[in-house]
Amino acid sequence: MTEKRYEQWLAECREVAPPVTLADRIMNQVTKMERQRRDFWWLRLLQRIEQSRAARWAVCGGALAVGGSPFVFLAHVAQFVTF
Amino acid sequence: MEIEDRELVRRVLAGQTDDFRLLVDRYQQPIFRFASGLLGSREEAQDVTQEAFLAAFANLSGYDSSRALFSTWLFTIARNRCVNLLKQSRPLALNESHSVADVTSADPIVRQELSQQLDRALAALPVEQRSALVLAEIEELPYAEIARIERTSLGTVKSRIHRAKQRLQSLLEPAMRESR
Repeated sequence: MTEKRYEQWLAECREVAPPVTLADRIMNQVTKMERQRRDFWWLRLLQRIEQSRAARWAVCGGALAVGGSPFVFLAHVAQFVTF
Repeated sequence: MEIEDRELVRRVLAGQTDDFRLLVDRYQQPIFRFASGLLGSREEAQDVTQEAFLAAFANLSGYDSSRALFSTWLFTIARNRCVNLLKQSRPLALNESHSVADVTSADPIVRQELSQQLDRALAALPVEQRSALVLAEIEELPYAEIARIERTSLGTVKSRIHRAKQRLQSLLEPAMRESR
């Protein structure tokens, strides 16, 4: 008897359904979040750098090139320039 | 043919946000049911379901499909939210709490309703046991997946479910005797 009632109770619990509007509410929030994310281009760039190894290498390479350019100028280019 | 979760996640990450709807449609009921069983409130379950999906969307890039199923990951998020909510609002629910007889003795009509008794008995279980029981008995998930969601060992999950069933039975015995 108890076992049967327990099974009935489990069946009742399995029938519990969310309100029909819940999925729409979630998707509205998702769209809003996505719009906010698009508005912040620098945030998207940061996320891209965080997600992709290639992007991380590109950023490091770029920083190295910019940072090293004065030294390259002094070592190789400056000797050909008449001041 | 149904599109796999992994493929849907890939599409959402590639910018097809609308495909997230398919994941929501697929898992909103299990997550809501789980939260409802754990919290015992439809309103709170709605909030937790919504929060879990939004957290999943916001952190989708951190989901690793080689480590866990999307459903397992989502259940883990929902479980953590439920536990946090229980800690904030009902610290007693985390411990061994009141018995069913204590709760229902004031109302003889409610006492006769065994499904309500079971709801109350479930709410009286410690949260770890309740969560494991809901995942195993209502969601019918395999024990290995429950262990991943609960972040514990398979043995612990089995013992939690066993103890939960025992406790449920012991909590219901007085009510059963009275209803005979």
